[in-house]
Amino acid sequence: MSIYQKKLYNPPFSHIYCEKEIYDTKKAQQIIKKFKNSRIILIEHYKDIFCRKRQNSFIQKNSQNLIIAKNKGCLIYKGAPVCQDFGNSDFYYTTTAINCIYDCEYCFLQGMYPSSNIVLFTNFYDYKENILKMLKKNSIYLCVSFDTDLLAIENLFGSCREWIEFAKEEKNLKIEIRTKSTNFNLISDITPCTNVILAWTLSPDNLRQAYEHKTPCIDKRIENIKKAIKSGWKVRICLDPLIYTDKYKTYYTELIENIFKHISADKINDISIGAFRMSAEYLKKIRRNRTDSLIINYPFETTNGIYHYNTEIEKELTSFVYYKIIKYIDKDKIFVWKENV
Amino acid sequence: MFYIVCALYCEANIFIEKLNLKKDIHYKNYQVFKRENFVVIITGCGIISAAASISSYFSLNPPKENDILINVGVCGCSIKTGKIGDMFLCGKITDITTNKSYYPDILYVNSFEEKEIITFPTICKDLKDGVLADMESSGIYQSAILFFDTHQIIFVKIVSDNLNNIPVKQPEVKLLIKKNYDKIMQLAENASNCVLEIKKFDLTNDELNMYNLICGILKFTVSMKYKFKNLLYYYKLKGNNILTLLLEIENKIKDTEIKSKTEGKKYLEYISKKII
Ligand code: SF4
Repeated sequence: MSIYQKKLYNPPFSHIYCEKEIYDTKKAQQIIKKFKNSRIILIEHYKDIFCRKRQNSFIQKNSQNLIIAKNKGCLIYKGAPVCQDFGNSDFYYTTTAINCIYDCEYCFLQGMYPSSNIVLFTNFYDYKENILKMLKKNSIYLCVSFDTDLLAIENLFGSCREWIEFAKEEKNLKIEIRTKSTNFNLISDITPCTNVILAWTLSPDNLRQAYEHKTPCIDKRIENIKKAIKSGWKVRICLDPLIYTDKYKTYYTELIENIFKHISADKINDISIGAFRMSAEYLKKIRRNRTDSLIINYPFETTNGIYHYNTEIEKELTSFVYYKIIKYIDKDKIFVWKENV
Repeated sequence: MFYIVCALYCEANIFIEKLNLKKDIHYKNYQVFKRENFVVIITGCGIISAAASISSYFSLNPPKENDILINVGVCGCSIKTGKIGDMFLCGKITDITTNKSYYPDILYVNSFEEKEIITFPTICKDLKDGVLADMESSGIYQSAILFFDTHQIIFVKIVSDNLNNIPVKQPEVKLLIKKNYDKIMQLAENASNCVLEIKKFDLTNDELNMYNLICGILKFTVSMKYKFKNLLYYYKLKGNNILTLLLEIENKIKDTEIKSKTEGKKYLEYISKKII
């Protein structure tokens, strides 16, 4: 985006929409206080603004606003088939926030939601209650940074802290907090806990610059991983999505060398790899708006409603990365999406 | 295109004058003035008139995705909320009859204060502090959203009365709007620049004609056509000249007679290998 264009749009969070019902709550007020210059608009229900007809979420991304709400709908979902379950049968995901401050061209959220405004659900107690009920029956593996990047918005929301504190009390609950941020410092004062996995997604820096707009650079993310490991946290590295380009071999070789140059392999909890894939419905919607995106307009193949690289490329890309990684780390620590290797 | 919607002639007058708009006599039930990229629609008073005029005009003239509609009109409010001549941008419109609220996006930089506006079916005499009152906004929004996206609709209101039952004279309304004309046009220009920035990458007409010709020769099915177009599109995005490629393909196939879908599929695979 040009500087000129930036100046034409309001700054991020110039408007905060807050449900009347929770406006006076401590959590809502904590968030609102962080935005002294924003205009507050009271709403009945978050969907009144988030699910309006005829929104253009791509334009809204130039001036994202905040919606503070109470989630009265479904709080915990069964893990989606396109997601890596890391061998956990009781795989669920949840979302205390919707949408993200970053702007990755390949992000499925653009296809999933009608708006790119960020929704923050402040009723953490309801999430807790739901999970406690579920924990009575079985243990749970829960991805809590799913429809968002929770650590990226920790300074305004504080949800990672809430999840970690909760997980500390519930040993049968294992959580994953996935991020591209460099905000480890915001939770570094918390004593590490064995049932919390901090997961960083890494891509070759050339691909980050091309496709992962507004995200921190890879070296800074690696720095954050090092700090987290040093503090005693379990860390997962996600090379997912793997992106195919003419130079993918050079790009991924450099990335993997860079990772293991700075991070000792035996300190990494596990690594996940998976070639780009997306629901056809979402990808078609994104294509209508990201008409100039190389990754989104790649001629993918479809199988059962999922767009993916053709089997040959998918296998070549995944195998290349896999065999590079096993030079450094035990095979048991590598999780590959789909049986490609 | 930039559409200015007003309920009354006196609200639209300054735009007609300054932009040198001419009346379009084709519209009988509401007034339309236009020139080049500017259109003023005068809907008449009240929710139904406003909604009906907008529906009628845009059914006949569907807007494009980089058009902007701005509603400029006078409103009332308590003396504590605003004084005569104050101008506000509205990010929340509530219809008092249905108690439903509507929210146009407020994305573009502006120097306006913002307030909620409540739309009444009749003249409002009693209103809480902090909000504005008018008789059209909810009708305009509900009708405009059938044709425009939420980021294309802007509501600007200028206080013309403090609910004290003193009727505002038409020349005064014109003056109030005139005083704010530059600010309104500045906002409109910002909004237009933002939407004009949205450039869609696509195939040119020449490329499309060639693509259709090849689809015809190779008897591609609908899904094969989609795949072929996606391949060409991707090839172009990578900075290649697709006309050269299409000519090459046409040369190769021009004397071919395709007898089955499988044969067409083979050609598509050949093209795919060339591109990926
Ligand atoms: S960081 Fe994740 S959630 Fe955020 S835009 Fe990128 S892919 Fe989407």
